[in-house]
Amino acid sequence: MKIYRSLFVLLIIALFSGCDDFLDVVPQDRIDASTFYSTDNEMVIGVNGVYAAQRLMITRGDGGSPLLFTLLESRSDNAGMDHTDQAERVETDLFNEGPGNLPISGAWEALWNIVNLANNVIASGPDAVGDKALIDRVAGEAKFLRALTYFHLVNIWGGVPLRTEPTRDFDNTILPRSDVSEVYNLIVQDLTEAATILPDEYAGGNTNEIGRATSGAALTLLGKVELQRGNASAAVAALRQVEGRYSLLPNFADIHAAGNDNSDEAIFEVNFNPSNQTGWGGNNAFIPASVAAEKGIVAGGSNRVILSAYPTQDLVDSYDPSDLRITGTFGITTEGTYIGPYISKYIDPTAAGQGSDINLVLLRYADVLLMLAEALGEGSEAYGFINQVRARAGLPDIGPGDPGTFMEKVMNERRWELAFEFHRWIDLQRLSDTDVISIMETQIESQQLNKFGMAVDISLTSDDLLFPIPQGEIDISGNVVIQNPGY
Amino acid sequence: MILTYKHEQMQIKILQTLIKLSKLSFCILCIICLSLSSLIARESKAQVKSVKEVQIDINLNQVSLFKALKMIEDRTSFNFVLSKEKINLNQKVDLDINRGTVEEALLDLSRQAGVSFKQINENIDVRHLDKRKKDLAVEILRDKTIVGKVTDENGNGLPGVNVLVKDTSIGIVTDIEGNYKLNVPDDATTLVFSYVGYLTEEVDITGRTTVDFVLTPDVETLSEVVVVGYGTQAKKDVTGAITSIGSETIEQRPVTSVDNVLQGLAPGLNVGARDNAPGQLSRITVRSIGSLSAGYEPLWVIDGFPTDQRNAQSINPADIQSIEILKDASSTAIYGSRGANGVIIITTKKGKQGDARFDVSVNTGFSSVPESARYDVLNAQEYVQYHTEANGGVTPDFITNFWDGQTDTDWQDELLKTGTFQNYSISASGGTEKVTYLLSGNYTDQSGVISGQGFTKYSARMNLEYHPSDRITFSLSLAPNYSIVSASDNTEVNGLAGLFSSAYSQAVQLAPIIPVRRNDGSFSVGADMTGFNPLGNPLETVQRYKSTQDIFRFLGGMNLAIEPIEGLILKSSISTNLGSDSFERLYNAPNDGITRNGYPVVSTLGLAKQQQVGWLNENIVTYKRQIGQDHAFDILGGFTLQKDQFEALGANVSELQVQGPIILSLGNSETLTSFNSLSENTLVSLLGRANYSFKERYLLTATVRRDGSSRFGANNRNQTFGSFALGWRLSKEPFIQDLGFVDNAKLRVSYGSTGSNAIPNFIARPSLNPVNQAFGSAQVTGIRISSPGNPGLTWETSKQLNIGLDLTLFDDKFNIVLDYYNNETTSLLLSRNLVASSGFTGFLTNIGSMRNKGIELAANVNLIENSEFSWSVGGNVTKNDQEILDLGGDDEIRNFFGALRRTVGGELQNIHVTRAVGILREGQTLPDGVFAASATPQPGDIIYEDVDGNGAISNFLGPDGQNLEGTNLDWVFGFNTKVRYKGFELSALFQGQSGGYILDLYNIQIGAPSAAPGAPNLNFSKEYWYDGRYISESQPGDGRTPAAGRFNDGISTVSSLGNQKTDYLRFKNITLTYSIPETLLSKIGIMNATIFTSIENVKTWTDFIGVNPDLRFISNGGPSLFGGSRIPGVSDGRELGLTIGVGNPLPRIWTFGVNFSF
Repeated sequence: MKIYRSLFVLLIIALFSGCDDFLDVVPQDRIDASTFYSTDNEMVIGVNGVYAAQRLMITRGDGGSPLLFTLLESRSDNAGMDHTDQAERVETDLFNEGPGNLPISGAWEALWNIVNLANNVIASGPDAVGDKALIDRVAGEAKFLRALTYFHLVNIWGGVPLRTEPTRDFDNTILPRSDVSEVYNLIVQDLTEAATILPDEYAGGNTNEIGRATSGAALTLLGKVELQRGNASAAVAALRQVEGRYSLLPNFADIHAAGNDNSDEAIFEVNFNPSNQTGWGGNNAFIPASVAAEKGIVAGGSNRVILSAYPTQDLVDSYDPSDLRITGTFGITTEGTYIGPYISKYIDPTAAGQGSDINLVLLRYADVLLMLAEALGEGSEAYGFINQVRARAGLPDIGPGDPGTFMEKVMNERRWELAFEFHRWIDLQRLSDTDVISIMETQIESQQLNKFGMAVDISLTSDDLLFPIPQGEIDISGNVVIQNPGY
Repeated sequence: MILTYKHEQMQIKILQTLIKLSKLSFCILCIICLSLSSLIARESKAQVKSVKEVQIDINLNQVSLFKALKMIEDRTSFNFVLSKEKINLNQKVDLDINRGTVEEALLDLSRQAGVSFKQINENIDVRHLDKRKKDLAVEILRDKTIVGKVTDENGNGLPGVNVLVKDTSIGIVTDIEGNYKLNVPDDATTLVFSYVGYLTEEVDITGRTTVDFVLTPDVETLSEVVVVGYGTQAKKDVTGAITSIGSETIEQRPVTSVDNVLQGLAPGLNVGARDNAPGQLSRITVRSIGSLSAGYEPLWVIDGFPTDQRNAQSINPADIQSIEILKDASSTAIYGSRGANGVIIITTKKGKQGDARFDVSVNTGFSSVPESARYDVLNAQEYVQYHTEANGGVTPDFITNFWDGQTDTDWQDELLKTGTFQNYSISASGGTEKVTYLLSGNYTDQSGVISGQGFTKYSARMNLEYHPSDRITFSLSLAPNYSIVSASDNTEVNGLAGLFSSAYSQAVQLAPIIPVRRNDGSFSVGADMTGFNPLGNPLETVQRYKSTQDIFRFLGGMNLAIEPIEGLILKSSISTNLGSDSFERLYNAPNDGITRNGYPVVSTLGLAKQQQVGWLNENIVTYKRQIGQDHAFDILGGFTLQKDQFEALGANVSELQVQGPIILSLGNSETLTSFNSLSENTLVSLLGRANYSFKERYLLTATVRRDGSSRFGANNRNQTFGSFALGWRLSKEPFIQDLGFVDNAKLRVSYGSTGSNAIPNFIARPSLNPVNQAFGSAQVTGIRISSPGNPGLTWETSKQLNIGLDLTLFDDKFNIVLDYYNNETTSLLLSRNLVASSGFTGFLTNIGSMRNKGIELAANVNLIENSEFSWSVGGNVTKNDQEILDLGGDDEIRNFFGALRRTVGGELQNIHVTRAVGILREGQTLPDGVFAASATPQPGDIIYEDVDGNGAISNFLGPDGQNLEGTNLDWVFGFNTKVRYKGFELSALFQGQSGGYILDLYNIQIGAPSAAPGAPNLNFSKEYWYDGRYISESQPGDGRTPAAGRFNDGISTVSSLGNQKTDYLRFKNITLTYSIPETLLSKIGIMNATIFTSIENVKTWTDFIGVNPDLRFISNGGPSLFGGSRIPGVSDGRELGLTIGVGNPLPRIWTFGVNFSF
């Protein structure tokens, strides 16, 4: 019996030794986050992830159009929404959203995801080993992307928590909101650094792909940011450095043509590529099924009777009928399920199941020219920039004698040139509150009557010019994050 | 022949040999076992020579007595049998016999060694020499033959009964008809008859040669044994809450897998449907869901192997001996970190000693969906009427332009067909005293009520036990199973789009004014009709979509048990769980370019393979001892190791250039996507349990288990669970016995902790996943955060109190089991909300607690019982109360877009919606706090409660959203009755539930009548939206249903109009059985035979509008965008109190079958 007992004891001891090893199962099908971003190559992959997160910000949608489109275009007088759809999807169109609105919290999440990923790259830069120049450039790209994201955040919600470090300690995640000026300071600092460290252009090839953020992109955004916060001269200084580095494409529609990626006019684009499973599918929501069928788009379009996003009548009517930009901006269908104007800017006739090959242009040279004009203020040079843009649209030059204020003329030109390119709501912020409120009230009331036969009397205040901070942020922070007024 | 050693020395030798066995020799042993299985019972020798007659030459000098005996054994046909007395076999003896008899040799040995011999047939008993009877040193007993038949109380022959001559090892088992023939020594006076389930009885055989005997059933049934974790226990000694379901309950139900049969059978067990299509797993919970976001399913243990429901499904129900449902900490704590959700133990049948026995079961049937079980939608006339009303009394253009005025398609009639069912099982079992075996095979084939849906299963099993001695058991179990689940639509893979792509949904949603086929004979589709949702045609869908899931599972194990000393059993096992799943999904798109909602316009192919390899090593020691009359101990200790690995690989491609073949490269390579995953987890455990019983009256059980799991954070891998239970057998107390009518009464109390580790592997580690990115046409790789990780992550712990009472009264007429439980789950695995500005919405941690408490009652009454006629009625009911106690400081957690809320003080989930209170009447002045959505409401509009009193109604996320009903099932019940008259038996089973609500988003979203003018859309529920609608002031309807077209007011889509009660009572099964009399059968060599017919899902009584109140239709991946607290990969979302689509209808199944044994 002794032998047997000792054998059993031995067996147990044998099995126990090495238990810790037995329990320490190392995953093989995922990347260990705790040690990543430590080499130049990992930094490149890391920043690629930030670009990808930015792409997801565009593709992420609820019930049709991209969330960011909902907040920056459908919110404005450019686009309307399907009010027969679930209420929470369309509240933002009529300014009746509450802090529980789902597209708003979705956009909030998507944007902060970009910030956190960018912070990971930026924070790891100093310690990463390898090609230092490459590491610095990658950190510069991340700074540009962080600045662009903060620019969206500050224009949608006002002052937001200012996060510059990656989130790693989950017990200390709550940050109060900073002032708008502090957010802008970070943006300007990031962009100034990025402008010096980023190359003017990329050669193509491994880790040097064309389409990454350039110094031109940083300067253009810097100009936009300065313009937005009212520093016209700083805006001019930044934009002057971009002047002449890019050119307008002869044909307006080519800017958004499928496959015409990162063209001479493009300064920064969100890149999509269907053959890499990164095609953009969201644009189908803009296109009625009957139009898709007519154009032979295999991927098909929206089957809705009312599209989830469509051009407002106000926008359609505002164009000069001879404006060459019309066909590259919207179409009007009179047959099929959907009848009325639809957004044609992002039609890809070659699109198949895996989405379209259209890059979403966030910064381009026409924008630079119009911003320069706006920053310079009324004058011959400013009209010259505007008229460069108008010339391509097949429109006659304008000058001080034409009707309307200078700002109205700039704004109209921006609206026609940049419709549905995620600029309009941000542009409106540069007008006085009264002007924006008046524009929006008039447009919404006529649009509701026109589209749904509904007489509405809408009354907005300055509070409506900022979106509500998602209630979750406020609740979870224990009211450390405070709500915008009016919500 | 065989020398039966009962000597320690030899035991050690055998043990040593066995211990030395390497893995290889284990395999060899397996093969030996296999060959041994062909052994047939030895025939008893008719004529045996006496020791006086057998000649022997033997010459030994100073050898051990043992060797001397062995020598004689080798040279003759005699076997020596050592008595329990200790005889020194090492003493040296001499023998010198030339041409002498064995008797002479024995006499010689007797003198030298002081032993006596007693010959009985070929066996020679060796004992100490009784000094008083010197002349009996060698005693030869003559045989006499006893024959007889053993029968049960009804006169049926009982096979396999042990018949033993008292105080000897002479015995035999009865044959298939209960007959036996036994040669006994002529001085034998008593025979002992023993058989499981019957009292062991002794019979005096003095002067008799024919002994027929009727065994008395063990009425108290207290000798019943139930399976508990890592062993078995006499039912009378059990202190835990365990419900045992025997094979007889399963055998005649027309089910393909065990999970389908459990509904309504056990208190505390709730079984719902995942889908009503064949081959789908059920949704099973024990004592409700005790976790907010980790897995809620019980642990399945199959013949000792802890595994999952899919493995349980692959078992042939006919192979199941018993199912035990372990519900309280006393019974589940032994499973430690996996016990918190309850444990279901499945034990398969084993062979019994005796002649080979074949059991055959053949049944076949068909299924169809009765009108009452369908989703009732409008016919053409009603459809036109509704839209005309919605259009202000004018038939809308879309109807006049499209409808021929005749077409009235009943799409469900067109789609639904009669399904078939067939099931064949055969098993062979039997064995000798050395080897027992059970071999079985099963083929099941079920086709659904929708073309292309089916479930086919091939399974086999071998359970083998080899007893080289009565102290050693080596057993082997092999169970390969292969099944195929086929489907004909992409519901499962298509997430939310499945709302439109399930064939049955299409049949429900397509307007009745659309014809099945176009004039040219091709299938119509929704897009044919202007403005109509471009649904596919279900009849076309089922032809074009083909999905199969091939499931292979192999569960096998080897088990060695040794009893070195009486009562001490050392058991070691190695088992393995191998599986592979192969998915194939092919869609052959029509090339007309017309959109079919939920399906691509191009052909697609998806293939995926999954492989799992798991192994388990268990080493268990048990020691059982009775000290004196009063103290009985039963101690168990063990050490186990388990490892499971999973690997998956898959690819999808679209734009197939040729339709039909399964070739990925036929697709457009740009569309090719692939994925793989590798995952594993390990578990190391120490476990122990002690049972103690004092005077059979006071029972005590203590259980402990320490688990280490790789799933949890490095800082928190090990945890100890345990329980303590007391039992008091009142019926052993005189004051209860004096009552006279109490057969058995036992009070049980248990308290303890068990855990749940049902979270995905690796979630505790911070990890990144690759993500594609492109710059122009340059393709690069980026990363995204896949899991934020948490190194402190640990178990959910469930503290469970159980108080139970078992009662048997009036000679087994009344059986009652009553349990009260209070389960509190703490350190809930929960995604703690983080401010989204951190870049995360939450991270998994252990916060909060919740409680389920309730009462379970199971009762069975044998109203009448005699040999001709019996009638019993039984039932069980469970009442469960659920409450969230703490959410780690938060008041509530939003789930599913905020339409479901987890609130402190609330149930697991409460429906959070805007409350609709009625319909606006003409001229009605609304009372305070009630408004319509519109500022200028019309009669027939829905009116809502204005909670914040601001004069306007907000959607569910705004101030007017409120927590309404909870989704907990307050009551779950089942009852059954059984009537037997002679050979006929009729049984019926009813089951149901009450008190639970679900938010039916289907009926108020996709399945709601579309309102936008000129937006004619899907067909919808007649009961929900047509019957009872407001038409005019003279026809105001039911006060709940809005006027035609007045539904979509922006609020209603997430309102209390979707809150449905899921109460129902279902006549689940009725079975009629006829046992053919043995007198007829014996002529053709058949032991017993029954024929039966049964109907499953006879009728359901419910107010629920939809196909099945216990079905949840929800996208496979669950909500991804605003999902709240769900942990991806843990659940399929079907535990949510919410449904978003129409599931497949519940068919009625008729079966006819024959079971027979020979």
